[in-house]
Amino acid sequence: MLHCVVVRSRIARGRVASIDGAAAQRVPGVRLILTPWNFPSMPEERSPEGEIVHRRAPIAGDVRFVGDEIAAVVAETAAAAERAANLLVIEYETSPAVIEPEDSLKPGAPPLTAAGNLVGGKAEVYERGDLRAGESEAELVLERAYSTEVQHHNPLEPHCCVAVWQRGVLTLFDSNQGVHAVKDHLVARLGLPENRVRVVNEYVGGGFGSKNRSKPYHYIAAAAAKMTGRPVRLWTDRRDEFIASRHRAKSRHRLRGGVKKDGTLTFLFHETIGQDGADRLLAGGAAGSGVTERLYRCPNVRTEVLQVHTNTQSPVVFRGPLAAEETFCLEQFVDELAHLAGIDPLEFRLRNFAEVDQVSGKPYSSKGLRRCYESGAQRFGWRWRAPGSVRDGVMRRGIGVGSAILGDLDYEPSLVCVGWNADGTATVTAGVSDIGTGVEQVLVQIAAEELGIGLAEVTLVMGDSLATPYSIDSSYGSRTTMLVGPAVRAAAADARSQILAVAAKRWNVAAEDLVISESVISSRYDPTRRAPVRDVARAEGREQIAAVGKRHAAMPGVAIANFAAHFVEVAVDADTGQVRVLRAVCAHECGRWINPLLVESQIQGGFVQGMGMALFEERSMDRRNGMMLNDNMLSYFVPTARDAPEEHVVIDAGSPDPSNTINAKGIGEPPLVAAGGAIANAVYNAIGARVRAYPITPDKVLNALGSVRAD
Amino acid sequence: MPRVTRRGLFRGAGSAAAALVFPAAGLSKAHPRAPGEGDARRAVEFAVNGAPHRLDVEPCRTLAEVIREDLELTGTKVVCDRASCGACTVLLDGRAVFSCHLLAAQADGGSVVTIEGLSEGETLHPLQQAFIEFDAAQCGFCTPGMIVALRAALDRNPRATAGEIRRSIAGNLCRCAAYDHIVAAALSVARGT
Repeated sequence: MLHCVVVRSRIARGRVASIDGAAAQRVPGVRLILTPWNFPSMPEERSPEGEIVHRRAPIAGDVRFVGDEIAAVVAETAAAAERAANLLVIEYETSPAVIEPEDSLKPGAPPLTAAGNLVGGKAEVYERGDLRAGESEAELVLERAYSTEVQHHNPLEPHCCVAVWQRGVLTLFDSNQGVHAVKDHLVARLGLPENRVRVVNEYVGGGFGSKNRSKPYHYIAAAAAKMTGRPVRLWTDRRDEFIASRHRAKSRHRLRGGVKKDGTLTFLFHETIGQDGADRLLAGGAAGSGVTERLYRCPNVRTEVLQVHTNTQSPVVFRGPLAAEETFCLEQFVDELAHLAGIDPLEFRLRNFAEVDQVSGKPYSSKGLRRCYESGAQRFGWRWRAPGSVRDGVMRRGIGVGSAILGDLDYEPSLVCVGWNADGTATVTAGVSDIGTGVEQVLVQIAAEELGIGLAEVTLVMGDSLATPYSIDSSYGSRTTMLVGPAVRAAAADARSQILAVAAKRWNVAAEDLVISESVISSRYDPTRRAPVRDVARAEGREQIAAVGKRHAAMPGVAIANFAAHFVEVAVDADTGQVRVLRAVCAHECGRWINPLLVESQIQGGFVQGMGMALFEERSMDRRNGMMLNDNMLSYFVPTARDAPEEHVVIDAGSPDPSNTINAKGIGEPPLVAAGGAIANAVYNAIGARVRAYPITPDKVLNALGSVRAD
Repeated sequence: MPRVTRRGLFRGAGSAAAALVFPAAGLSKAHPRAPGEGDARRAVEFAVNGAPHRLDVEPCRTLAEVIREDLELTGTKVVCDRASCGACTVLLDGRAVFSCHLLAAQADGGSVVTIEGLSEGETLHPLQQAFIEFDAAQCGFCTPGMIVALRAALDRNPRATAGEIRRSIAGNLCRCAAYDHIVAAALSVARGT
């Protein structure tokens, strides 16, 4: 096996003029150096509509951001590859770059695409009602600006793969969130038949949205393996994870809104500018997610979303993409409106409660947000008090509330296979990967319950694009359980029917009379008719009983979304500006909790990631040359065990959802999305001053307190 | 379909030398390291999970690399390679250390315990059992280092409190943020419940 190290651009914009590999070549063990001039050309790629898709080659000479792939070294050892990579002499032709979103639209800014720097050439606008009428009806009006910064996924397992070609089949052992998604992209870009690409990945050491798609490293590894005729391992080191694995976009927000004196919203205007990087190669978009349109009842709403190109990494989805940014800002703004009107922020939210989907007018399949507010408030002991009123020496204590709406699921195909083994155990085959959510356990539970046998008697085979059916493209969007779960249930139900039909025939009874429970088939009416499933299966010999299940159609006439309300208490040190989250109560509604331990893990984990985004995490970048300054885990602050709240309560405020056959909704993302507003509002309550720029770092807190010392 | 396993690839099986750009000259297939790689090797002896090992390693190789690549104990993870995340935590003479930040040669004469050394046959260490019961692992990548760090902490302070437990794993990052369940699991072991 060979080892591949990717070489990345040090400039933000321009071209690679030359690469001199003479010294690198002489490093013992070097087998191949890939450059823009010898990287194999990729076949022409076409969209599903038949249009040619233009993409930068995985290794190319045009450079769009610091970190862009420009070469690769393949050697017998990783150390040799690294050594050789450092010996490459690279000459650039540097062009003026645009680093900050504010600079992107200034006159004279270099155009980064043929169509300029504004994605789509104009803002994306949503409007309902009459904003001007809403403004004139308002008795109190407020306008504020907020911002969020880049958040890096930083999964502990980096992006990495082993690529091997054997007998015309490309196999990739990879770290990704969906083997079928990555396989689909490889097939499209490499022009290979689907039966000649195999992506293998069962368990993932974290993804959070960064590993949903194919990325340049897949193609570099595949090319290196093809050209050397040997398996190639490509491992991304932590610095490259920071500078090239993509991230949550930076965003700038302007909110303007008005209420009547009783707190009823009359209008909301939300302008967002999202930083979209140099192209839309991987972008899930950089801004705008429909939260302002949906979270509250408001007849007059306008949102404008602009996404601008800069010479930085283009963003990729990160747990609650766009929704987290939008909600963190909207929930602070709503809090400010509440204070302007002199109303308890919780009461304000309840007064503007949206019963039905504000955009489509449809009722929700289930909406337990009111219960989230009420049960969360009760468990927390919510009693609103004036900001800055609770002090303990230098510490200031504050409470805050924040809410979230996220997700929906229209129809998506999902196919699962369930087969009885000859001894009455069962195998479920599904094309999913477990990214840490425990979906493997959830699907086994569903199958076991439906089949009537024990958990230990069911095995889930997953994560191999050639050996599993298409159950999902990739795990994102808080939807894996509600998409794949019903398909598992359908397949298991069919398998159960089939084996009951076999038993019914043998016993000369109606199949409807029989049930399976605790691995025993028995008749409802005749207690003498009973036998272990094992015996019935074994009697079939090698006539295996197997079934295929599909995900059913979407429920018509309803909107589906997940809701949450978080209540947080913080302590702010007025001397240092440090914010500690003391306790949190997270009330969620997400349909049936199929596995309560796993749901609790998602809520607690998502909250802490949201806390990271709200208080600690940001990219520090040199504006002159577009280089990241804190590209390591010591100076990019991922929350530690000492940052997580010591008291963290989770509440199930939902009810079984009728829109699918397992009555579940989604839980992966809402906990992150609801956290930030609650924390920021608690900080305001603690110190009586608002920090509108996330992350709420100590310097900003001290600034807000008006006590920054000049050093 | 060709029978290829990732473990097989790491051992060198399944590689077909053909059409190399820079032909391998004098490369011994038996040993994966290229000639002239780094400085002269030196002999290092240490016990790993109770078993003695004698290895010839280049001085520049870290303990983490040697554990994973030479001894094929891949439970220990390399994530940051800069002693800033704790995923590579092992015990060296009873102390929790970042194995990415130690040269293999520095373990000479010592006794290393990795995550693989915590269970005895099929019997899980109480911490491992507790991690299962409390769902203290989400993606699981920080888990080996986390459990080893907790083992060191509880060995030193068997009745550790929640606060002491949190402090003892302050250097073990969990990006999934499973901290609440991790502390609960460790606390259950400390309390003997």
